[in-house]
Amino acid sequence: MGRVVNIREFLSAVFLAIIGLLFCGGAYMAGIGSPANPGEGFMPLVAGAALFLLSLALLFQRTCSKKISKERNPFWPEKGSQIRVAAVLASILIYTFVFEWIGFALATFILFLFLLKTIDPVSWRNAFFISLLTTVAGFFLFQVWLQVQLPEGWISWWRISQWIF
Amino acid sequence: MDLLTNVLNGFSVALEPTNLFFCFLGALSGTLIGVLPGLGPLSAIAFLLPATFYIPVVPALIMLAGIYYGAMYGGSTTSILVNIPGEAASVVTCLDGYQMARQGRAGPALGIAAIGSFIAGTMGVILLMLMAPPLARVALKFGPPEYSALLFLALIIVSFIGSGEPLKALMMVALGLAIGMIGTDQITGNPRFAFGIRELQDGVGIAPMAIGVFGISEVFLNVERRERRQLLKAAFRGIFPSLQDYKDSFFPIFRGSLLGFFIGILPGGNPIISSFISYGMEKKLSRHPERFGHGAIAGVAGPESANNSTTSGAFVPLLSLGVPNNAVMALMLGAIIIHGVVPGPTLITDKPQLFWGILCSMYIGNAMLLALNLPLVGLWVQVLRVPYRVLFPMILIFCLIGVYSLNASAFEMILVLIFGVFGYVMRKLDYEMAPLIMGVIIGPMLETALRQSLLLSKGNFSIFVARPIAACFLGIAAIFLMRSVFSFVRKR
Repeated sequence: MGRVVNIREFLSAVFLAIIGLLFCGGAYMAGIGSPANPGEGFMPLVAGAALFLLSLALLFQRTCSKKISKERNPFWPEKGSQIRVAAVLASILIYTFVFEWIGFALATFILFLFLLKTIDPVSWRNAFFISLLTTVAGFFLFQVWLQVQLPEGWISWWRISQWIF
Repeated sequence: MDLLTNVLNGFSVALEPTNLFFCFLGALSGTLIGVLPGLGPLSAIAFLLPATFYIPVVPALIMLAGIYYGAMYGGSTTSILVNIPGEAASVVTCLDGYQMARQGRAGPALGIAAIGSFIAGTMGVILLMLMAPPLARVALKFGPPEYSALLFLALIIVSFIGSGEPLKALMMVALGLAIGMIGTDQITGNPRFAFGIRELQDGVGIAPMAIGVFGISEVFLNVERRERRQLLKAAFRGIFPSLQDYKDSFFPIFRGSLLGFFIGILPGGNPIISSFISYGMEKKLSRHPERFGHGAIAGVAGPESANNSTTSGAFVPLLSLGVPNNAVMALMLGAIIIHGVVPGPTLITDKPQLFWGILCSMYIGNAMLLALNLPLVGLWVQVLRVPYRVLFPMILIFCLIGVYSLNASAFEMILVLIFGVFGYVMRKLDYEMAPLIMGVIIGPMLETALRQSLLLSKGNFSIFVARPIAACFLGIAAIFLMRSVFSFVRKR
């Protein structure tokens, strides 16, 4: 019977071996040059080949090792872990795409509200208050103090001040 | 005399109001980061890196250094009070610090941690002042072959000294080197692996990558589990240790400071290693080793001093050779390069205000930390009550807006997410991210030195073994690699 190889490790090594090969291919196209006159692809070839060979070494080590490797820990430590991670990832991905369009203030406020209410929920009052406070603090830190040009989008601070005054 | 003049000049730089402010800001944020579990100095420096682009290089580095050594101070607070290390270097402090807290001696434990850290920080700065300039003078004799061999050695040792498997760490180094090759070729000026993407022509930015693999992935790892944190109810009375405590801690602090500093100099040397070695050493040297693990003050004083002086030691190779020896120093090097300063042995002579200014600010910063940690320990305990569910959205926003602020580019925010997911998955599979970031930062330096060496030798690789210093560095690297191969063969 064949040895049991940790499938996650196997896949990670294969993935990295492919990345290594891709770098080797790219390096070849960029031009490796000669030892006397190394080209643009010389170092990427060295790095890509090293990654490929080391990945193969990991695969070899795991398949030839006397110790039978098995899945040590579950990938997700708790029930619902995957949902929490996916929710955070999806929300920041959406934030990244809509941030320039709807603006820093609205996007940040909604992201905060969403994360505070979904991952490990706090009360609506606290969620609203923290979201508002952090958005305003973020604006002052980045736009006022560090002078970063944040996208204004639909709700600009100028417009808010127009509404208020 | 020269040293005295340089030190005085350094203090005049460090005492400038702007630098003083950023030193305080760094020390304060460092303590805060150290106190808050789930936020280490590495991820904090990564996500604060973009903010430093808006300030000159001297205050920027003063602040980043402050965060690093400040986190070492702050980390002990959570270890002692909650039995959760604020950052990895304080893990060992949990063993005796938490036991002391359970016995109602949280105050002396926190006090000796702060005092020990201050003494260690001070000793570290003095040793750094004495050691870095002579080392830089020696390094001035290095040519491209010596430099490439040294960089290669640094990468190899970092892979072997980390907490994970050396083979996986080497894979991360190789991947880092490959990613470091993306962007414009430094010698010909032609773009490589940019696929026509404008943002990639300057290479994969250090900030988006570091923020992704350290900051974002850390958040993913932390939100996986629901928060369960309890603050010790038995609060502390008085923070000053007794005379007996001082007596018991005197030699552990002294030994920890020296040990930590020299471990800091070594490639791959980090505060985690030094704190564990110091603990083991103190237990071995103690007349009452049975007390360790049950609230021995030496078990707090030694490791806390060691982890603090390691941060000073780590600056020796960075400032004198331009070679980072751990991931935090690699990020510091990134900050130096981004500000247009050429790292290397000439830094001390070319930018004395930078070198001596940072050094003296570290001394001032250590004094500030003592003032921040001892009287304000009650405040830090309150900070511990900030739940992670409120903290992590702030970290995410800081990471994303910080990266956006660099080039006003949403592409870099996406890059952060890609590296965040990559870092998260790879960390779960026991791949370390520090060798990856070392590879990315050292990669272009190694490439330039390697190509220059080969041009110099007309393609003859024997240049690396014909020159004694380079041969010596490569010999050490070979020993590490061979040892690993032999160990694998023996296990089979």
